[in-house]
Amino acid sequence: MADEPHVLVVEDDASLRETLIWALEDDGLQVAAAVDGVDAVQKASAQLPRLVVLDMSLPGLDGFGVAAALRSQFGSGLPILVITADGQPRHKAERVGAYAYLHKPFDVSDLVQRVREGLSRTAV
Amino acid sequence: MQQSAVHGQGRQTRRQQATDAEERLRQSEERFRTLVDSVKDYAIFMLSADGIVLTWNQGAQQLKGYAPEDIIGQSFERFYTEQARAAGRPHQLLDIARTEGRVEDEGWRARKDGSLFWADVVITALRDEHGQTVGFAKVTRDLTDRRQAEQDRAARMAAEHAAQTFERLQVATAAVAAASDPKTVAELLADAAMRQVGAASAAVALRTPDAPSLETVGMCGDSSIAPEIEIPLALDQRSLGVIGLGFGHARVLDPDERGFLLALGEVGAQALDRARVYAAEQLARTEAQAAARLARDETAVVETLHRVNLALSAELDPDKVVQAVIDAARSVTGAEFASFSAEPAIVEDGHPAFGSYLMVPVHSKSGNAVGTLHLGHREPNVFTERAERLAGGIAAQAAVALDNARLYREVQEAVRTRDEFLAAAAHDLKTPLATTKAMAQLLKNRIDRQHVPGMERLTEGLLRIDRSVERMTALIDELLDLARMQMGRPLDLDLHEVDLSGLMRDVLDDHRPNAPRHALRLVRSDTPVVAKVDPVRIRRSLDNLVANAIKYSPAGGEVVVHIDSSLCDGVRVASVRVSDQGVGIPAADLPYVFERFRRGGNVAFIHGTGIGLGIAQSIVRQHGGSLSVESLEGKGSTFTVRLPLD
Repeated sequence: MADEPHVLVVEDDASLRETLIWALEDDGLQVAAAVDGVDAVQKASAQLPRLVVLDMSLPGLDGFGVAAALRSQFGSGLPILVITADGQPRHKAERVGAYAYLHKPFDVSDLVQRVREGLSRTAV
Repeated sequence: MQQSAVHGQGRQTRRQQATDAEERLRQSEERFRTLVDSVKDYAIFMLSADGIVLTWNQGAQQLKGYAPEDIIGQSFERFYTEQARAAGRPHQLLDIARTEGRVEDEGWRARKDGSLFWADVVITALRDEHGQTVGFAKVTRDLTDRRQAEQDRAARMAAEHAAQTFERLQVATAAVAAASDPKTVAELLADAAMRQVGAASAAVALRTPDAPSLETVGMCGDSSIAPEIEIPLALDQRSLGVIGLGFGHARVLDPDERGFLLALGEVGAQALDRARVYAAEQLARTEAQAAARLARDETAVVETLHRVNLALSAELDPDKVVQAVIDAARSVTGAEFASFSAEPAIVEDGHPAFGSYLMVPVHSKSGNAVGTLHLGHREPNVFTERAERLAGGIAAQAAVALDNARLYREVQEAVRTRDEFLAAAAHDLKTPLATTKAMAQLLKNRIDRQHVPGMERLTEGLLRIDRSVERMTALIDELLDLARMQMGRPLDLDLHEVDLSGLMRDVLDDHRPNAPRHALRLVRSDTPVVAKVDPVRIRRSLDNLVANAIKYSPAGGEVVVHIDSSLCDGVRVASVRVSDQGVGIPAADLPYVFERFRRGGNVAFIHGTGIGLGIAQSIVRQHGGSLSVESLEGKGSTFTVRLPLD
């Protein structure tokens, strides 16, 4: 279990956060969660995740800020999967250098598939 | 004991007395009989003190049908109807006769055969020398014929009276109906009402349309006598006012008078309503004539003001409105100097160093002072009466234009706030929807894996939740698009290669179940027409066109969609034409079809918001395409979407 890939979920809405954790854990992934931007940066610093699922609209430090902080600490190699409710997900994904994006509401199967995709990138 | 003996003795004595009295009565009856027996038209007979029939004459036999042997010794109660007996009426009458000496009564009485006759009955108490009632003489007369005659007469009188009332009402209201102004109607009504019931004063008070209070309009008689009785003037349950009648003393209206007055009130209300409409028309006509006269006399002034008006009403920026007002005022009055101050005019001693000076207050529609227009010239007596009028006219227009500019700004602000709110709200809805959707799917996955009992229903329920979230998301996206376009922001198009025929087929399939009276037909070229579009948005636009085609051909008919591609100025273009056989669009409305909240003048009976086409057009335009319309009112419309291919 210890060598299972580690995913950090950053989502301020508690219900959706729990749902994301459940979905990824159901797929056998090890999941850590952050409740806002600052929490995300702290959690990532404590234990480097192999992938970040990032909600863009967060209170205080938003998705852009979190991405910038992570990039400055861990470089561009850390895969980020953006989750957003906005009309311009592609634009946002590009701005934070995410490899993919999901539009709220999304299918669980899409979420799992995208995360797996991201993890296989880092494995290469 | 002793008392009881005394009492018993007393009774004995009274009974003895009664027997003596009856004996005397019988003797007097003997004398009486010869007299009475000859009378045939009256039933005359004696009753004992407790109502037993003692004698019977020929008249009684004839009238009531009993032979003497049938009835003597029987109670007189049987002459009464069952109800009267039940009510104790017979003995009541005896009691009254006993105390009053005599009682007269009219009512139904029964004959031996059960038939009834209308009787006049007089019962007289017969008393002995001690004043003790020892019996009664009863005289009964058959009044059935007389009663019938009276009833006939009453009915005839009532009919005559009704006819007279109607005639009076007609006479009274002919004048009322002919009157053409409310005041005359009110005065005639007051007069008619007063004369009808002999009142000392009458006043008609009317409710004015814009104020609920009553205003006395027509008055006659002695105005110092206040109204005591009010008759409503009501039309279709709408109260127009009242007729008040004063008598100066207590007076109760009989049903007849009340009926007449109520009818008068009804006719009066109709006449008033008519007169009001007529008066309003008169006023409008007079005003129109006055305006026409003014226009003839002062064409130049009016035209000038009209030009200013046009210039001002086109301007929605308050600063520019002010500048336009100043320019216009200067040019039409010939002033050298003109300014506008946002303060109300203050009249001071003396005025600025001008030869001529004109100061015109500008009042908004609500009556607030908006500012003051100042006009000046170095020469004296420059401003003629005409210049003054023109400046006044411009000030009035300035007020309207300033009001409009302010309103426009407020509306813009309100629309922006609403759109921003809408966008934020729609956005915020997405997160809980994401939870709902993902959670439904997770639960379904679990159930699928674990084979929960009754899992089919659970799975079906979770699928329904999933699909509902899908639908709600589509609705929210539509709202978001709408808000974004109203804020003038572009949509973030998600472009894919899409077969337009396939897309259109789906759209038509969606509508078919709800359009049983329409034939929906798709006509397409052999080669597929594939365009790079945002399938969700384009589908929504096409859907809107098809929905309109169905909606605005309420009688049914064909809705035909042609899809093909062609070369246009060297560019390959896909065209989708949606044609219907519906009500069409009036030529005058055609240029405004795509404007928001604009709807054809002929479709007020069809529910709609007037935003669908505007949205469809902006979506198509964002794809680099165009949406156009051809229509003949009464024949139908064709909307054409053109989209660039390649």
